[in-house]
Amino acid sequence: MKSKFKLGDALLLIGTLAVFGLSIVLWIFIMTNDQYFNHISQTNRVTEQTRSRRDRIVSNLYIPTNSYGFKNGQLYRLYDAKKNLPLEFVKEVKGVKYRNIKKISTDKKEYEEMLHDSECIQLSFPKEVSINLFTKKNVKKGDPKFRRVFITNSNDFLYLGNDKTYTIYRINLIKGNFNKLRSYASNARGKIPVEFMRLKNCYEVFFTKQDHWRIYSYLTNTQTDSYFVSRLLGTTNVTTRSNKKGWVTYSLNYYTNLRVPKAKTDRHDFHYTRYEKHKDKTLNDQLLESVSFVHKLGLSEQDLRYFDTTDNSISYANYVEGIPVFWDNSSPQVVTSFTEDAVKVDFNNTDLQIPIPFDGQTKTLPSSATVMQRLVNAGMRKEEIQRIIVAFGVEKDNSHDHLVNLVPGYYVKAYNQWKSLAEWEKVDFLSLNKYKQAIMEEGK
Amino acid sequence: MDRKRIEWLFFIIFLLIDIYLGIEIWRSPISLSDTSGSTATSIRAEMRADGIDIPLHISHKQQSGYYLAVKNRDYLSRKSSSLTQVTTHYSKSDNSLTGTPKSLILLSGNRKKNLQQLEDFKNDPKNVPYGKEFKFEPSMSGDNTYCYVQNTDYGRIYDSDAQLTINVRDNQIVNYTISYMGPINAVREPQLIISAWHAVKAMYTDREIVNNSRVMQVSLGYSKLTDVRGSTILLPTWLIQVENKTTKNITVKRVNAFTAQILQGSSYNVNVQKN
Repeated sequence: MKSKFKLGDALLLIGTLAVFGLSIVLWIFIMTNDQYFNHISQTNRVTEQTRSRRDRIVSNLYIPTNSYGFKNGQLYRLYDAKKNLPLEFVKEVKGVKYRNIKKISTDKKEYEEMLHDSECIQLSFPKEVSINLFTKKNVKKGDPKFRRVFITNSNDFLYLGNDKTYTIYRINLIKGNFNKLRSYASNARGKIPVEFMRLKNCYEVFFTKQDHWRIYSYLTNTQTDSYFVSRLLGTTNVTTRSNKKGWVTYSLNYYTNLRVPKAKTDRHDFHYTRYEKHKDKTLNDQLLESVSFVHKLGLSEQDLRYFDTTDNSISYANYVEGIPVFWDNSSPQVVTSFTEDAVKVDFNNTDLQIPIPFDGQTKTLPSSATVMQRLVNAGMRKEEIQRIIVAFGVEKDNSHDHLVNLVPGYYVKAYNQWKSLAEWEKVDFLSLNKYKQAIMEEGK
Repeated sequence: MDRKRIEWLFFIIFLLIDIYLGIEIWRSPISLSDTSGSTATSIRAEMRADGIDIPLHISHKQQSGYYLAVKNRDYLSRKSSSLTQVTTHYSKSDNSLTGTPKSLILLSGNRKKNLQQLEDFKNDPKNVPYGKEFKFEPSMSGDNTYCYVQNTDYGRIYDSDAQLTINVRDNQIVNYTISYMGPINAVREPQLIISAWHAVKAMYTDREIVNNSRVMQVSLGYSKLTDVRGSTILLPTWLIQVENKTTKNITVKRVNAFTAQILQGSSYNVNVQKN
């Protein structure tokens, strides 16, 4: 009995010493963790500015990028240097109130009739967005997605279309007025003939003729490592580690780091990672949350638009005259990825800063159908082609240090990856198709 | 017995501290992602507390603006021969032309009527080249100087290279000096720009509005950005007129309407106008 009493005493002493020691360890951890204090010391003024800026960015990032209309039965991609039609649409829907939304069809035939309705003006997003994000309200349970807006002759409603599911929604409006947009669309100066072609999950806009596409130029602005380190990691307790493969890693703590190419490498791909647990998120939540990270980078957001989603990644590209810009290796400007354990942001540290007047340079591109045929001839499976678009690739102009040319070319999304036409033509499709087949069979 | 009680007390207190610290560590990386959505405070109230007055009906509406470009050419020297009612002097160094009326032009003395007479004077191509393209700008004018800025389809240009200044003395037009940029074109399609309120807010948060002052006017115009490949690039800017309540000095500052950044070195003081 006596010995049992002594054992209890000893355990209590060990336990007390253990919790005392643990509290010291935890306290030291908190005191050396810069993020904890950053979180506390946010000033009200900054939060006000950040919030209003975030609201603005949300409305600017997720807007349509192209508009289409019919004339004499022919579908055209509409463009006017003086009137940015998607922007006009955004302005016109700002004062609109949304009443209710109704699913009116899921029939392929009806969807295609809608696509070819010559009375409608169409505005398209590069990829599906959620209806709740568009209306900024929870107007529909389940948060359905859409990619296309159809504006009819009525100001009382809009139609929203989802290419993937052939679903058409009708959304009733209060105070809708699209008269200005209709007038701009009918007077749009640039009209490029196009047609819709059904690809894997969407109706792609195919350019029907070989055409001369303009080469635009921009002065760029490249931000230094320290700019992004201070924006993403803060200014204290950041450690630096270089490796022989040409990367420098800045770490704030166990959770957060930024990997950048060494200055001499002439590369511009930066990678930010923050480890944190994530719950399953809806598309709307992901789209909204990724905006915070895009803003945190401090890159120019003037031409930045939502570009694509692949698995858990959301990408944003700069759009010039309705056409996306790819940096080296077909990379968009920013890609945010949400996994269960981490958020990753891959971005290019160079901004398109000042547009230079067009100097008459053009590049001739074939029709979209010709491009598709070339890919099929090279061995790509037609059913694997997800998108075929015209986009700009960035090329250095040797006449000025910070001058780049945006050279138009075809870019293709297939097998869930974006590559230029030239890159795809180098791919060994025999092996790729076999690999894809093996994965499919494994899945079965 | 007392020692055992003290040990239990220590054990419980440190256990609670450990739980608290553990929760804090677990929470901190996750809560960071929501910093941008935290509670907003009114910047207007802060400005009021700092003695800064702003116009009641300042617009919160986003508009659109362009990057504009103009070819760097000499548009004025070849115009001298057509200016038959003035004697001219062209300055190549600053690309400006000075004109002095050959005959006496008397003004009525009333500022409103003076403005009308000066309007007729500048619109006559025998007096002033490209005169119809210039609009009166009261904020840049003084008692004896009437300032006009180049107006385009896209908006007004606020730059010394696109300005007409008519000098008046004893109710007579003494002379004028004009600089002209030439026809302006949009470089790309329009983009969204920040609202007037956003521009004022950006100036305040960048501490560019001193305490105890009054924001008098916020207007949109185009300002020179840079020269590249033989062209001048212009961008939309919010021009914010701020009066110091104590000294009554008025300063105009410019905010980049695309990025909300202050254009450093572009501010100027305004002469107080007396009618």
